[in-house]
Amino acid sequence: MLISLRAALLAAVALLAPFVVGQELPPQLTQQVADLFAGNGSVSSGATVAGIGATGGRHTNNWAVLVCASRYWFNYRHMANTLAMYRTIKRLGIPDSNIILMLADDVACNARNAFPATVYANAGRQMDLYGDGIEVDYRGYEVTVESFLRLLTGRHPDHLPPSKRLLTDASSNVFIYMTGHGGNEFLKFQDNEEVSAFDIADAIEQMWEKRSVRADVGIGVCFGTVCVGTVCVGAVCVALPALPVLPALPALPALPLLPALLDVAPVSMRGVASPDSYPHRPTPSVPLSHFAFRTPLAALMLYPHNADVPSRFNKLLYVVDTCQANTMFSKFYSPNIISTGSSSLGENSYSHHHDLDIGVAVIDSFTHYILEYLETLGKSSKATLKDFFNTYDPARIQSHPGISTELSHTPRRRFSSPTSSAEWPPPSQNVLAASQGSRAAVPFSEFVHPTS
Amino acid sequence: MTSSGLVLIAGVVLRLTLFATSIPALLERRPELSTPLTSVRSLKEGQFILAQGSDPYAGGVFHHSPLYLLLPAVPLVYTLADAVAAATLCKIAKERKALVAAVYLFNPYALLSCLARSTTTIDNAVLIAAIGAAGPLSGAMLAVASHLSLYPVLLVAPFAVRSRWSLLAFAVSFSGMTALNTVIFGHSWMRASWGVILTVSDLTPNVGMWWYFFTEMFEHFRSFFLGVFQLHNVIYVVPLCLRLEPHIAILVLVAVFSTWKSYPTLGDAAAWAGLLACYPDVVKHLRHPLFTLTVHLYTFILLPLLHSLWLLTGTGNANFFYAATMVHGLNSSLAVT
Amino acid sequence: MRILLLASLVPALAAALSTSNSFHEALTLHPLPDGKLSVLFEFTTYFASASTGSSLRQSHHYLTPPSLLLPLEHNNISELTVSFVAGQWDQRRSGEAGPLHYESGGGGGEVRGWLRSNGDKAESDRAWTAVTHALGGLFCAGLGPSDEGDIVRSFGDIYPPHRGSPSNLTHYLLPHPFLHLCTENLTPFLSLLPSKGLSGLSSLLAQPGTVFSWGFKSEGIEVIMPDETSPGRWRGWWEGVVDLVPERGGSRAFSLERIFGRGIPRPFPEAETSVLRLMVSEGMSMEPEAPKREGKWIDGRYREVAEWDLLEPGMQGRDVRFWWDGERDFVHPRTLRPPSISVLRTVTAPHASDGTFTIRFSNAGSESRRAVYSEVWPWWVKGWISEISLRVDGSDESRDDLLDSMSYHPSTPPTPSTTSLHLFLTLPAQSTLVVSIPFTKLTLKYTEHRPDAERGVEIPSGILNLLDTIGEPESVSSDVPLGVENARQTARRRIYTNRLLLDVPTPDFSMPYNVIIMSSTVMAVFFGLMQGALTRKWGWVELPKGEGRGKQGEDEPKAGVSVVEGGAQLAGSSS
Repeated sequence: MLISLRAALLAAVALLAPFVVGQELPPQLTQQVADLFAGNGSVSSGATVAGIGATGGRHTNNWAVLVCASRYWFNYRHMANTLAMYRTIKRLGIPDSNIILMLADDVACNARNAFPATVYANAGRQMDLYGDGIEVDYRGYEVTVESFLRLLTGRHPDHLPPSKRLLTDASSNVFIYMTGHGGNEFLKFQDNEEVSAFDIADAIEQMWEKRSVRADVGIGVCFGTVCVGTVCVGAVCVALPALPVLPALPALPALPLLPALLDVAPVSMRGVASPDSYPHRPTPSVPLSHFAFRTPLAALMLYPHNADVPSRFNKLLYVVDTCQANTMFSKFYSPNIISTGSSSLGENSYSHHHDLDIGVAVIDSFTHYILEYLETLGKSSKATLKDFFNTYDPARIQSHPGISTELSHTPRRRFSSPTSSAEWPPPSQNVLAASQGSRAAVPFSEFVHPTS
Repeated sequence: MTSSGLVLIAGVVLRLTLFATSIPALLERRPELSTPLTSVRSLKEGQFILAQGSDPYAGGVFHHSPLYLLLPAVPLVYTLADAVAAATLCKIAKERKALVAAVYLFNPYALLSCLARSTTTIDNAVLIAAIGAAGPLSGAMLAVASHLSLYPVLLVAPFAVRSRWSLLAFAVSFSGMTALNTVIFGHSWMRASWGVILTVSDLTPNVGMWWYFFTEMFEHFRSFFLGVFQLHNVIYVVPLCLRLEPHIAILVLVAVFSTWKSYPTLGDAAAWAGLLACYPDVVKHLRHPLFTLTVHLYTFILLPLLHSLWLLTGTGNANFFYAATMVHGLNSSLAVT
Repeated sequence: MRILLLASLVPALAAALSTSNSFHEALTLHPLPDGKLSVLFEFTTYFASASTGSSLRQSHHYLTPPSLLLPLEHNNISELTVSFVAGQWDQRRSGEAGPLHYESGGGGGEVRGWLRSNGDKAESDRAWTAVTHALGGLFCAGLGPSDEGDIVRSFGDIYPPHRGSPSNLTHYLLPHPFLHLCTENLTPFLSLLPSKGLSGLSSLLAQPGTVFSWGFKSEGIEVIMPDETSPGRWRGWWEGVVDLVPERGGSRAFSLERIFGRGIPRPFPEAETSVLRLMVSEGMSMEPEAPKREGKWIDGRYREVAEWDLLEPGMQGRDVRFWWDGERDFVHPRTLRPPSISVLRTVTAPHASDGTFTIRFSNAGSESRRAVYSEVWPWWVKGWISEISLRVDGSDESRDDLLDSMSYHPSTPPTPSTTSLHLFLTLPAQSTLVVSIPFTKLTLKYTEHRPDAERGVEIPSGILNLLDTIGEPESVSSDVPLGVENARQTARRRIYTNRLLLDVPTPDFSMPYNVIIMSSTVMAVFFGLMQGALTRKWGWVELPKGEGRGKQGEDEPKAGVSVVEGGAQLAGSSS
């Protein structure tokens, strides 16, 4: 028998929620409605959950997370991919303070680099990507699956400097670019550990869910919980009434408890967000902590409290360049995400070309052609993501890039295969236009410079 | 003079002669013969730190029992320990005493671990003396043995079956020693000596199967498997005491924990090989005597070879040595059952 | 000694008091005997205490970077030094015991400092962790402790405070030997300077492609926070070693333009002083001739220093050229004079599991010296203190008498922690003392290894702390001839060894499942056999006549034990 404070809290709230909400609005919600009418600009939880498409005016800032997950000199091209992307988005207007750059190794000052403090992404060595004003936020051994997931979900130790945090809010558009060696539904970090597509999908879901985890209330009991690695499956959870709601206990009919339990039972719970359950980290003693529950269901149950903590993004663009890259975003289930990757299941992503003086391949094919297009854009460009996706040419890229926009609309549209560009039905309008109201959907200005 | 007496003298002379050569220096650091918990190098380090006026248990250097801090680590002590063990074995054996003494004294495991000045030799001597003694004295000796290497504490049950008084003597002397050590050194020695035996925090390679298992273990399951491995030693106590006569139960238990303790050495096998020789009936009924003996010889050669391949020449990797320890462990298991 | 240090600091601070906020910059060129040139940038800012300044609390930040000082102020830091070193300083070839800037640490990164403590250890630790993480964010490098156990606390005597008494200060040291130095560390360094790398000497430094192609590189900052009576000082330095000899041979002649690609830069208007210095080596000429040349005690030698004031009108844009009279082709000297004290640390008998640190202290001087040698090891390096041996090179005789005492703070494996060891040594004159410290490498768990475990793990530099230096006197009687040496007349108190890369015994990282399965199988086999042996009944079986195997004895019980399941045909009692 296992006792999990948080699970209990969630379950307890879930049980109580229908009664509380049914009778009167919780005080916070009332306050928010008041704020809304008073023009405070505070975002009500109802708007964030239901009105995904109607959030046009809320986009105020852009953030980028650029991840090179590969170590070692011969993976020069992954560093170059990332740095080229860094340079481009900086050029298009995201300030350094809003870019989290993760480089798993340092090729610029590597002893094998014949051109110290420089990184080039083309054979002619025309442009030094490292430049003289670079800020690398996570470097070398700091680039781990744990630090990446913590970065996304915002769970950090108190003393972590702001430069290493993704300080986004519900009005931020976030661009995530990842490159490295990968495979079907995983990406290797430092040739030592992997992040799975499920991990990233769950982390992004957590960014979307606007929940605060409060461990200060409630006691619960869970039976038959099994954890393997980071994945936990809970069989039955019973919430013991939490302390603050004890007075309400007599009012609780016994019967509704049962359906609540049935709801809980089949949910598969993944502990991605649990700071205690990351793999490859020594866990200080308490084995029970692996059984802490943080579930999609939990978010639902916390609904009345959600308004406190806003979502960590408004829209999210996910770009990944690795082998079988399209599998990396195939597990996403949160709204407002557009994803694209370099190659479909079973396909490799190849490097584009190498430089004889540097001695290694300098850039990957997919990233090369992305950048080729993005370099034609300026800050005031009106080009859309559709224009951008239309430049994909599987023959030149030597793999089939995938695009997934099915999560970017409400109501959701379904496409037969979101991961193959060949089957990508050209949308009748800008992919983002529907959610943009009067604003034209501008892909990289959307993700690159503030709309103020 | 009896023939067993002659064997004893021969064993002692052989040891003292070999101590005069350079062989002991070669053996002292062999991981097969001494673990961080029994090596003379650690012992001297601890005694040195104590002599400097510091607490030897403050860092992670010294894991011996506090009783060893008083022990002069000179060859004579180790030779005498082996002689005492052999003499006790002669006392336990009812017939062919000279053979029993010879089996112990000329067992290469016992001989080499004595030359390596591994404290396993002394652990063995105290343990065998406890088994050979009678009445309350055996309990007191067992308490010392348990203090030195912890695992003999499993023998309390068969000892109690043999003599009730030994249980009392064990309890009194064990708690007495613990209290005394705590008064002198504070609490740190318990964590540094017994704690390391129980939690296997020092993963230096040895002939057991624990070190690699816990090196490779996922962090989440470490404590679970630690419990499993330790309990594995304990579960045999009750059934063995119920099914077998106390002296046979002791023999089997010594065999069990010499194979499955957290920091075994080849010297541990010598103790139970010596005890085994005392019971010719049991030897007769061993399942695969020839096979286990030859595999013992095989691993005896394999262990140092693969260890050097991994750690000295760098041509092999950790799996090589692990494979050798596994063969050794499996073989010891076969020998026991 | 500490008094001496303070004494040398007081005039500088006193001078700074008059102009409470001031910025000074200097570029020092130091030709080395092996055809190389050490280039040192120093940027010093004096700033008044926030409380004694004007009513505007932020006013003192016009020359000082708030991003650096605010976390220090907030966390009660009294003094703090951050140092990054990439490459190796070769003591033998350069003839100097270390880089020109004495505060440069050993290899890799390092943060050390004094914290004003109120006796609450947990609070001080928290403040230290917070400030190191903040600086790590600032310098784009993980400077904070990855574990609380990484913090070294026993180095207070090695780095005495400039100000205040150690009794109400706590010293912390965090070595990060694996860190290196690249553009992302230089960018924040430049942005801390008031000139931002745009004007003044800092604009020469703001060329990563140039400065990172140099051999040895050292970057660092040292901050002394102001207190009620005295102003604060923060100093940033950047030092590199340039090879002057062209690839195909030739003369060492060089100029600012050749090194930096440009001449004297546009002056930074707020700079109080901006000077170019040259430590003149024998036979050197320069153009334009230095307006000021004087003798100075620097690192144990009385040397001639030429100085140009770069703020003088007309200097901007000019090049300064240097050459050695009559030198066509630089010939590398056959013998190089070693520094008076040099330290070399190597690992001998390097096996994956064991090894021996061999540290060679060479004292070329004519008098014996007193010093403390300090080492910091991660927890998995287990030194054998009882086996430390000392001898003088050239003889096998043990010289334990040269080890006066030692102080040993062992680590507590397997929790991340550090071992620190201080050896109080006497270094005999004109000889090399060899200290051997045998050590064993503990086996790390599979999860504790770095991603590139096969490469090895760096061990921080050893530090030799000289106890008998007498500083560099400011005023010297004029009759001291140039080039005269006195090994003790130096302000360099610490000499660093190189960091070391140690092999670690690695497990097979692909094996966890196999090991778990196979070990568990062996255990299960053992358990099964034991269980079988214990649950079966053993006894004598009488075989019915005619059913014996082959022609065995007909009327006697079979000699031997056979196993009978479930007690059927049980003849004898169990034994």
